[in-house]
Amino acid sequence: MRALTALTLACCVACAGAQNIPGLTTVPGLPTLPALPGVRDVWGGSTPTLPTLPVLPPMPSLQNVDPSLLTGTRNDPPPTYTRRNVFSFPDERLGVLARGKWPILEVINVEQQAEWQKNAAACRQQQQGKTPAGGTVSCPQYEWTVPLSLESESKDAATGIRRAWQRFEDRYWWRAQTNLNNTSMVPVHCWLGLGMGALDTSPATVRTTVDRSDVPEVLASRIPTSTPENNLHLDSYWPLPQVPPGDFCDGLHWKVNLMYLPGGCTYIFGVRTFCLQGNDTVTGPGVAPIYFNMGEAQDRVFDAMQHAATMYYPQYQADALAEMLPPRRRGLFMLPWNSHLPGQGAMVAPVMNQDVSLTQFTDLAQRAGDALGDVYRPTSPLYYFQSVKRLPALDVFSLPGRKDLLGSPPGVWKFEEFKRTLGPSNPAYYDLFGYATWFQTWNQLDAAILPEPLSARPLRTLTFFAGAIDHYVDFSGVHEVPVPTGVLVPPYHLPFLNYRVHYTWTSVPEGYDIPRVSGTPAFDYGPVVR
Amino acid sequence: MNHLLTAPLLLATLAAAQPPPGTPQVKAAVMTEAQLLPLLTGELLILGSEFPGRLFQKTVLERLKAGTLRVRVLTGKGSLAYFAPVQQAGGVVRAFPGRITGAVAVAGGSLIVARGAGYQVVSGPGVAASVQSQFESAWRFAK
Repeated sequence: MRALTALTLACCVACAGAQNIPGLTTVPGLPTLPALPGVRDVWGGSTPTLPTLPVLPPMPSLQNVDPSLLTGTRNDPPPTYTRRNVFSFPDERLGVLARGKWPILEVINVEQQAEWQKNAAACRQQQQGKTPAGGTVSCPQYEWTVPLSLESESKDAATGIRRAWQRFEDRYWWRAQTNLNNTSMVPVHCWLGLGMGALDTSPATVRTTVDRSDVPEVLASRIPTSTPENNLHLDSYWPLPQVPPGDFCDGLHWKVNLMYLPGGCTYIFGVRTFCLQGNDTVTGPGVAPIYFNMGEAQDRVFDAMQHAATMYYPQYQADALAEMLPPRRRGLFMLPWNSHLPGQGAMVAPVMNQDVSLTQFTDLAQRAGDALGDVYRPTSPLYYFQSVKRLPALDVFSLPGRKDLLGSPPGVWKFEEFKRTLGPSNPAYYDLFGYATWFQTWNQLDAAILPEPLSARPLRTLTFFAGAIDHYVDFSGVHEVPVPTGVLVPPYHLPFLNYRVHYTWTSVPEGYDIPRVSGTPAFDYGPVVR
Repeated sequence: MNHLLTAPLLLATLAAAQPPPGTPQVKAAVMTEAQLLPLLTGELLILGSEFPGRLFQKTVLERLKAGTLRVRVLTGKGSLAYFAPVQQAGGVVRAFPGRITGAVAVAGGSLIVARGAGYQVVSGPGVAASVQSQFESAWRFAK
C-alpha cells in the first residue's frame, strides 16, 4: 500500500472549475495525498479488534404483539425517493481492520450506475478492450471507494476548522482596530507585540445532525431535526490580540498625522462651567474631540477591511482546508464530492470509533417505536436487531396490502430513516445496523456582523482612542486633566459576507441518499486501499 | 459636642483651601453688573449660547461701535440670531459645529461667569489663558 504512487487531487479541483469563492484569486488546491498510513501507525501502535455484539437486550416476544396489528390494515406507501448518491458495505473488507488495514465503503452514483447498467453488456466488452457490436457506448464510473476514517481525527479537523475561522476573525478585527489607532497601537501591538499569545480553541463536539430536508416530509415531525452548531466565533473575547503580531501587522506603517483636537470641560471651583465638544459619538468619561478626522479614520478601517478580504480570507480558506488533509490529519480521508467549492457538494468521510456500547441502538428502537406507533412499536427492536436474530414477526411488513418495503431503498423506510439520528460507532456495528456516520465539510455563504455573540460586541466596536482635556480652576491655579474618550467609528462593527467552511456529522442508512454531496467524487481511494 | 467638633473642622477646611505660601494666587470675586464694566477693554471673548445682562450688553455694543473694544463670539448655530447685534456693531460671531454647554466670557485678563443675579469673576495666572486656548482651538473649526 505504501509503495503505491502518491495521488494528486489538485487536478480534480481544477477541473471542478465553475464557481469560485469571491475574494480568492487562487482557490486553494488539494495537495498531493501520500499513501494511506497503516491503521497501527495512527491507532497508537495497537491493532484494533472488531467488536462482536455483546449480550442482547431483552426483546419483546411475539405473544406481546397484537395480532390485529400483524395482519396489517395500514397501507404505508413510501414517499417518492430520488436516490442520487448512496453507499454500501463490501462485507469482505470488514475483517481487514484487525490486520492493520482500513475498512472501506463503496459509494455509488445511482444515475451513472443506471447508465452503465443500461449498456452493461457493451460496457463489459469495452472493459475487456473489445469494441461492442453496436459501437462505443458510454460507460461512466459509478462506484468509488472510501476508507473509514477515525472519528477522533474528524473531531480534530472540526476543531481546526473552528480555529481557522477564529484566527481570521481575530486578525480581521485587530488589523482594523490597529490601523484605526495606528499612531498609538502600532508601537504597542506590532513593535512590542503585546497580546495574549495564542488562540484558545475548545475541542469541537461530535454531534450528528438531521436536516429537515434529509428526511421525507411525512416523517419530518417525528424525527428530531437539528442544524449544525459550529459556533464560528472566538471562544472568548479579550481586549488584547490572541493571534501573534505578524498575523495582523503585515505591511502596517506607522502614521503620525493629526487625527483630532481634544475637547474638554472647564470646572471653576468644582462647578462645571462650560464644555466644548464635537458631535461624534463617543464612549468613556471624556467629551468628544472638537475636531476629529473621521474621513481618515474611515479610510483606515476600509483599508483594513480590504486587506483582510484580499490577504487574510484566502489564508483562512487554505487554513481550513489544511485541517482536513495530510499531513495535518493522518487518519482522516476526506472524499471531495465533488469539491470543497461553494455550491459543489461537500468534502465527506465516513468515520468510525471503538465504541461497543449498544445503548444508542436500544434507544433508537425505543424512540422510533414510540414515534411511529402502530405496528412499528412492537416490531421496532426486532427490526433494528434483525442482523442478530431474524424473527418471523417482521414478515408483517411484506404482507399483502402493505407497501413499506416497496418502491423505497432497502428495508422498511420508516425504520431506516430513523437511523439518521444515530451517532458514530465502530465499523462492525455500522455493518450490523446498516448505517454509517459521515463527517462533512462544505462552504456556505454567510452574511454576518462580527462578532456574532452579542455579548462580545462592546469589546469589538471600532473605536478611536482619543483624549479630552478637562480644566480645573481653583485657588491654586489651573490644572489640566487628560481624560480618555473613545470616538466610535462607522461601520462600528466589522461586516463579513463570504463563504465560510462549516462541518457536521450526519448518519446515513445504507442505500439511502447521502446529504449535501453532489455530482461524482473527485477522487477514488480504491487504488490506495486495495 | 457638636459645636466642639464643628469649629476645628471648619478651621481645617479653611486651612486646606488656602494655597501653599509662595504660589501665585487665583482670585475669585462676585461682582455686580456695574463692577464688570472696567474689565471691558482690549478684547472680549464670549463662549456659549447667550450671555445675560442688559447693562453689560449695552456697554459692549457701545464700546464696539466706538472702536475701544474688539469682540469675538463663539456660539452654536441656534444662537446666531441672539448675537446678531454684536455682528452688526462690528464684532465677529462664528457658529461652532460641535456642542457648547454653559457660557463664559474672557475680558481684561479675567474669566467671567454669569451666576444668578451676579457674576463670578476669576483671575490669576493661567486662568484667562486656559479658557482662551480652548476658545482658539474651537474657533478654527467654527464658521
